[in-house]
Amino acid sequence: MPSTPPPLRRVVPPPPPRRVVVKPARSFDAAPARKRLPPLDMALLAELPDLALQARYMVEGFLSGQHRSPQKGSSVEFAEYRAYQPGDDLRRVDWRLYGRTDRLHVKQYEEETQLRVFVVLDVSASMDYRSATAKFRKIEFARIVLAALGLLAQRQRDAVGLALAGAELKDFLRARSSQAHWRLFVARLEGVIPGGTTSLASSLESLAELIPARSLVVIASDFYEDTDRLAVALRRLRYDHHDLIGLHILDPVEVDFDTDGRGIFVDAETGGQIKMDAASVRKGYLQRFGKFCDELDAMFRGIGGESVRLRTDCSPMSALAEYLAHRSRRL
Amino acid sequence: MSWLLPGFLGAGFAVALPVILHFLRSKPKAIIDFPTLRFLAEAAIRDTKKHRLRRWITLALRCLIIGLLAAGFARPFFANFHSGGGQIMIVAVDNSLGMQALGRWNARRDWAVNQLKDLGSGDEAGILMMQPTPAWLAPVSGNIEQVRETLSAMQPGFEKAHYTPALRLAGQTLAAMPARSKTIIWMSDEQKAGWLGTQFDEPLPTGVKIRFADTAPHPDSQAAITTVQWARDGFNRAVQVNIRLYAPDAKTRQLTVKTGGKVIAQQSANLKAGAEQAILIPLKNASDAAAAIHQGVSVSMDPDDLAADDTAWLAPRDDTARTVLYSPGSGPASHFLDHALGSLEQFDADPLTDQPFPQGDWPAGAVAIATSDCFQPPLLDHLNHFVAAGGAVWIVVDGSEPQMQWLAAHNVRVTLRPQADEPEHLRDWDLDHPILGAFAGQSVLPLMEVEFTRSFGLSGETLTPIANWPDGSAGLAEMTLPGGRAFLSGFPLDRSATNWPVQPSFVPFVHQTLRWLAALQRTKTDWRIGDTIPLGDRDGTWRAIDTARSQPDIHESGSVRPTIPGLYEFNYADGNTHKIFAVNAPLGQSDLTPWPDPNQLLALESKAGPEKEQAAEYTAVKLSDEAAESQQRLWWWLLAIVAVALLAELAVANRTAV
Repeated sequence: MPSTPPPLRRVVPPPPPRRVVVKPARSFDAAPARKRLPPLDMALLAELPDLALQARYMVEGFLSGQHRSPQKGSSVEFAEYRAYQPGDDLRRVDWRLYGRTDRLHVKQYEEETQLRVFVVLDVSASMDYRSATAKFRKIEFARIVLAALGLLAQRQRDAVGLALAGAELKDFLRARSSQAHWRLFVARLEGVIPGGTTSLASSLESLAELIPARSLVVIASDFYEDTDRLAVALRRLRYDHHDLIGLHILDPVEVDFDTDGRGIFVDAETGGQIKMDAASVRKGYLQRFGKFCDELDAMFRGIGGESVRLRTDCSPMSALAEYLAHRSRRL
Repeated sequence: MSWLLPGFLGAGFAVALPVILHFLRSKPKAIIDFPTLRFLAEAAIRDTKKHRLRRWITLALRCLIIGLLAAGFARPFFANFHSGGGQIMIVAVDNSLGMQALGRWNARRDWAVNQLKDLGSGDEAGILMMQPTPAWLAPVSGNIEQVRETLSAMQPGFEKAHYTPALRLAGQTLAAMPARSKTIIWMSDEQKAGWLGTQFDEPLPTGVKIRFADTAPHPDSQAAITTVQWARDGFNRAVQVNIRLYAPDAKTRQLTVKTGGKVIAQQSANLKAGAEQAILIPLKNASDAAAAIHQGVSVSMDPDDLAADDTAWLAPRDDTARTVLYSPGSGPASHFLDHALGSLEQFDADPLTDQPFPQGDWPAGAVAIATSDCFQPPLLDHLNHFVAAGGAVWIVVDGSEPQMQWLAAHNVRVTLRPQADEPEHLRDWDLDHPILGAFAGQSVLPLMEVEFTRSFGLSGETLTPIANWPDGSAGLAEMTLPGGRAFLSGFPLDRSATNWPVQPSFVPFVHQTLRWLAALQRTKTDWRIGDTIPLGDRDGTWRAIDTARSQPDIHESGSVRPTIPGLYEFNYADGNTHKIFAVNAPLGQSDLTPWPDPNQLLALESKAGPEKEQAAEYTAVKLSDEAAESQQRLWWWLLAIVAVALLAELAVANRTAV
């Protein structure tokens, strides 16, 4: 007697993937209208295969450190339903759905991901800066580095997500490891329009509500944020057992303040203006900037994360490789 | 604040230049985007404020520098607005004998010091001594206090009053000096003797004023010893004192003669006003007289209102200048000379004393008549020493060989003149020569009638002819010797050569010649304040023996000019010889009568019209401004501030880049 398949229950279409509706970036009134950034220099990413071996080794080591999670070996992310076909593992039949629809459907899950990597890009106006000695704008540099990290994760079949931080969380892309997701990831990066002020702390607090626990959160920013608020946001992420990496993207002029410019200095975010002689304030600037960097490093260390300063006058790939190598040695 | 050159203040408008540059300066316009100003804002705002403040400081300093430069070139000064501003006073001090009259000195000195109280800061004063010649005791300067102190410490002098030179010098000095007020403080008693010879119709320069003290009261009692000299009272030595009484009309005064502090004679004298009275005070004690002649004496009388002229000093008697050395009885000529000298003692109150040549050196002050025996040893050596020491010699040329050789050695050529048939006469008489003084006012005929039958012609560069022979050679001549003088007569003094010894003109001639030669040797004994006493070339110590005021010993040579009357001793450095000098108050200064017409004194001030006075005053004001500016030198301080401001501006400007 032919077996009659159980009646399938009405299959309720699964809810669409959660997308964070991010308000359009509020452009800063005083700041001039920003143009779209040039596309990612794929030539740089094309060098990544060469870097891959080295990076992969580093990333594996890096990832291995992250696999001490109880979710290891399990797929926890539901993808979609499909009709049962002979040969399918009956353990994947959704019997509840069969009960409702009398049809056999099999749950399809996302490919198992070893790690979810969320990269956070600061898209404030302060990141849209490039001095004469720099090779990239800060945000371009950050994009490349984050794309490289994403590519590394994608090659390692890890999921990579994206968050754009401005005055608030501007955009969020859930972590996926598919090729299609990678293209989307890159498209989102290319579509970044820097501008406006920064509230990295509130963006990170919003992000903490969206991402699953035990993810790797890589924040590329200049961190021109109130350090106390930022510390609260980072501790919030750390509370969810995220591993935090801060990529402190800096223009060489910001680091060395090696400029003899005299004129009206305009704050990229606030539009504030100060007429001054750079040489006359250099000493005080370096003292205060050094103190800020030290406080930032101490803050990341204090919450179990780490931060690294990347200068935009260096090669982003080299800087990333150097950092990952250094990190792998430590882990 | 006043300005000497106010036109330079116009340069002060140049302060507009830095002000304009300040506001037109190129301000930084470059817009520099920067990620964040969070590390710049605090410092930049602070620095911006600093820079803004520095810019204003720089602007202020630049304006200050320009302003101070303009002010410095305009030569600022503080004009004196008080009453004494720009005054110059010259105190002309009468240091004559008359100022020692009772109370006169102190009263006028206090009056003069009181006049200086009008002076203040920026004023000047000086002290001018009137006598003997005007001399600045304190040059005109702004140190008024020093002038006051010097004036207060002054003591009256004993000089002879003579006001005119000091008056003119003070007037000219003030006229040449810039001041608003120029005044002569005439600290004097206006003694008549001092104003004699003053041209009252020549006023002081325009703008120069003169202040006189009140007229001094006439003294109640005033008499003065005018001269003191040695005399004889019979066989006794005596001191003749000449006294003149000025007030009252008659008075008895007690005279005292002292030697070495010991009273050796006293005598009362009844004085009457008018002519000078000679009072003979005999020195009856022989030993006291000998001591007095050897040491000198002081004669004083009861002090009166002017005590300074109540004492006079008399130096020891110098007898050597009255001695004639010759060889009596050595020949016919000596008899005529002996006779002539003896005849002089009959009627000469101060006769020359003849004596033979001594065995040793001849007295330095004597006069020697050198005949032929003097040119042979042993007298020849003494003659040479005598001449070398400046002795006066009458050489009677007789044609002896030693005499001619000696004269030839002294560049005198002696030529025996050929004997003429007729006696010759001397001619070309130099009637101005002192030895012919007895004949110059009468007749020279007695001289021209003298006949000469044997004579010698004299010639030489050291000779000054007094009378010549007909052939032009000298018959009588004055000869200059290294130490003194000699008189040469070119003929023997006997009847074989001339008939002069028996002529009436012989004795006056001999007397006059010896007196002249003796006068060359005689030491003046009547020295007065104001005289310069020759001391010779040798050094020595000038010491006061008995003076009106104590005097310190001084080392002198050449000459000395005492200012205090008294008896002085000059000890030559060799220690073997000394001389005593009596220095008395100047003559004619004891009459304290003031100048009879005070209006004439007041008329000395300039009578220039108001316009000229105004012009002079204007000039004085302008010059006074220069003087005030020169004294204050504020421009120097302004330039110093400019230098400091420049450094500050340099430091601040270099730190004000934006």
